[in-house]
Amino acid sequence: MTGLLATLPDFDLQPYSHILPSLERALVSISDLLTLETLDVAKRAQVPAGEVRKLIEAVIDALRGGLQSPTVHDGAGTGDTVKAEERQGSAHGARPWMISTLDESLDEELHGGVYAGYLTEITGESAAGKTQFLLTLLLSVQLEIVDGKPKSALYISTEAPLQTTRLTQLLTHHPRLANLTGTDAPSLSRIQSTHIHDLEAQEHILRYQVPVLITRHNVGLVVVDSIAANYRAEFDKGSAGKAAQSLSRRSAQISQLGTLLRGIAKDFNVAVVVANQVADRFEPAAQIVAVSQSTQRSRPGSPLSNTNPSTVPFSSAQPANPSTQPQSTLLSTTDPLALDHQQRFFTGWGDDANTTNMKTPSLGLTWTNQLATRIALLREPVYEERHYKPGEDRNVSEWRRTMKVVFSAWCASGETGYEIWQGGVRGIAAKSET
Amino acid sequence: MPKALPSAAGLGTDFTFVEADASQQNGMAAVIDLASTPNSTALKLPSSSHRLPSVSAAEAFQALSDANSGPSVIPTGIHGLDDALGGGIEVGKVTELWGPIGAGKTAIALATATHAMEPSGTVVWLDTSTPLVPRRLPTPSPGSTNAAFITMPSPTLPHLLALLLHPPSTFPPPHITLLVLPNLHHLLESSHPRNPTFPAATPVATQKWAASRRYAILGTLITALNRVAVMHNIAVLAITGCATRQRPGMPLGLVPGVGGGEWEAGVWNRVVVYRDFGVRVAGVQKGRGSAVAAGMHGLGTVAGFTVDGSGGAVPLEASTGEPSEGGAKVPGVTLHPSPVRGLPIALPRKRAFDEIADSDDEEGVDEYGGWADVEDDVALVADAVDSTAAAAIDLT
Repeated sequence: MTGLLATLPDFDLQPYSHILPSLERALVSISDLLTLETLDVAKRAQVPAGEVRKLIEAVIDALRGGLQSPTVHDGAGTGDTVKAEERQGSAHGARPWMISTLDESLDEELHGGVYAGYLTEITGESAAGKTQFLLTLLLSVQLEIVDGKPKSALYISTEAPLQTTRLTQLLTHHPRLANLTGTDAPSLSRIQSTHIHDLEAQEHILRYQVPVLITRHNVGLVVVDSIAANYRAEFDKGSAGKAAQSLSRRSAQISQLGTLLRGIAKDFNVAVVVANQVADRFEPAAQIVAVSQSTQRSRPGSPLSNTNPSTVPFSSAQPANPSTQPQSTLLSTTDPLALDHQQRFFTGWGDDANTTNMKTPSLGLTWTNQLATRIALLREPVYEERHYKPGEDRNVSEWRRTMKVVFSAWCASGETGYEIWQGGVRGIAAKSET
Repeated sequence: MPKALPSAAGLGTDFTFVEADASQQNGMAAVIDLASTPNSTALKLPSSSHRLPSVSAAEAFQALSDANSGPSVIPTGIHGLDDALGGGIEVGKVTELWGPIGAGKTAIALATATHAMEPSGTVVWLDTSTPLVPRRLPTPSPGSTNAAFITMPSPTLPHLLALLLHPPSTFPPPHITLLVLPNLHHLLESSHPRNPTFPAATPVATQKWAASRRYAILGTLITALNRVAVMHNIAVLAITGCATRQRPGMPLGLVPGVGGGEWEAGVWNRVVVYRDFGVRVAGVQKGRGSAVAAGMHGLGTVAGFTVDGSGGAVPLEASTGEPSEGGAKVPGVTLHPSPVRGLPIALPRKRAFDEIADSDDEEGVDEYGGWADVEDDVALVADAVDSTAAAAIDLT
């Protein structure tokens, strides 16, 4: 029965084992059981209607039982609010908590830190500082002590192995970690790490092994560094003809992965933090008003419309009707719902009209839709102020790094500068607000 | 005195069906000419008759409007948006909020929930994929007796369907005024993805049927939501995300996260929420049941708003955008007349219905695109809907 055990893990399949394979072959899902007539289902799967009816009743009972009683948030006072907070959440440990970044200004930007129960992404160019952030979180989660036991962390890497030397450096140099001693102090021993080489292993580890590890080792943080690496390798191979199919298969897999990670975060009340890479994004060429082009409308199957929108220069024709200017003074463009335009606001790059060097996190919109929070680490070169001869390349004196909360379920968007140092990451006093 | 039967179960209204007095002795049919006695509610029927007593239509509608004494709209708090919607989101109907992630949909829903709790209403917020942080939960004003914000878990699509089609006794709670379903696209995507994959051995016919189930289930879902909205006299707010779709002759664009002809037809209001430089925008694409004569690209009327810095549920201020020359009566809103349905290019009439099946092979499936043939159904229905609402709104 497609998805029955995934939705209802405790459902007793025994009494229905004779009809379940037929239902499975007919691709009947639980939602179909609930929305179709019993006779239709029975006919389609070639099973007796009476049995199907019994199954449906059992499923409805199980679903109703699975719905916990609603949580009422009276807000009648702070006392009640606290109780509501405690009641909220899953059976596994209901209290909302967060992992600090161990720096005040960064924590302020995140309204406390990285919250548990959500899927968070940290994205940025290579050498932007993603791994530094993750390493800091791996140590910081251990400061959360529940029932006398510090939480531990899980680090799943797809590329480079865990940088233990850097972790040790953080432990010795960070002011909030260096002075802690004792068995409860953060240490490398509470970080489990593993390496995944391909998508199948990734799926298996995340679906079956991670839940066991979380409960066994009191894990509070699951880090996947990085999420895109395995997808690149898998889907780059294959002929061009199959590219479309494999792309749609990929988006289905990505959304399943997102659901899986969100489920882990919510059910176990842990923070799931994922690192993601970026690719360059080119500004689409200026829209052209061309009456003649309207006759050359491209059918959806034609090569024009199939090419990557970010590299197509002239296929976007503007209408020649008089209402060409932006709809009101609110909008800057006549096509605000174009993906290229909206990408500026949910990727992290481009929401300042003057930026030229734009990036897009990998795995596209499908992956973006899975996230609760995206933290983008931007990096801009600061050039030396001196006289340059014509044709001479400018010298980069330093990099200005910005941590930007692009969107978040738990805090407002905003950005702040930061730097990388021996003890990890720290915010820079000069903050720039969006 | 004929006794009144209890009002029909589940209906928020209070019809009184008058039962024939069992103690009546006369066997003669006493026919009352209802047309001549419109105010009479005492009907005598022969005790042997098994017919239900009739109620005149005038009385029925009067009783209905008396019973529905609650507000007919719930304001969102964004003045421009409320004006475009006719006061706010309509009670007894389903409103869809869609848009890219981070645009402000949840903020609008939370602001609407705050208004829905005044003076004494309960809001049910289904906890689907991403729970609300406690800080964002709207608090009812102190002293209001029935005002409450209730979160109910509904982690998967089967849970949601069970909740709506086979509701437990706790649902919906009394005094409910608003039901919010956030992240509906997540529920759909995890159980009936847009691009499903099937085991290799499955016959093609079964695969096609399974692929079509997504849209059929959406149809059942919208019917159930409409039923809940009407029966309990509440407003239903469904938040769907976004997906992308190839628009002929134009760059890749965003479309609502759940689609399907039946879903789109059953939704009464549709609001798109997106961002632009320095502003967040809410546009009404379908208002008061009919597709708003679109401005550019099916955007309809737009209203600007902002979200405050704490990320909490806050009243959203209307932006102070000046009206453009299109003619606008309300600051921050521009109602844009357009003679063209949705698409900016006046295309020669789209390919005929029977060509859709053939274009399956030619349709390139782009990276984000879905099942091309099913989305063409959507486009066809959208065509039908928009062409009936072809008259432009001219506010000059």
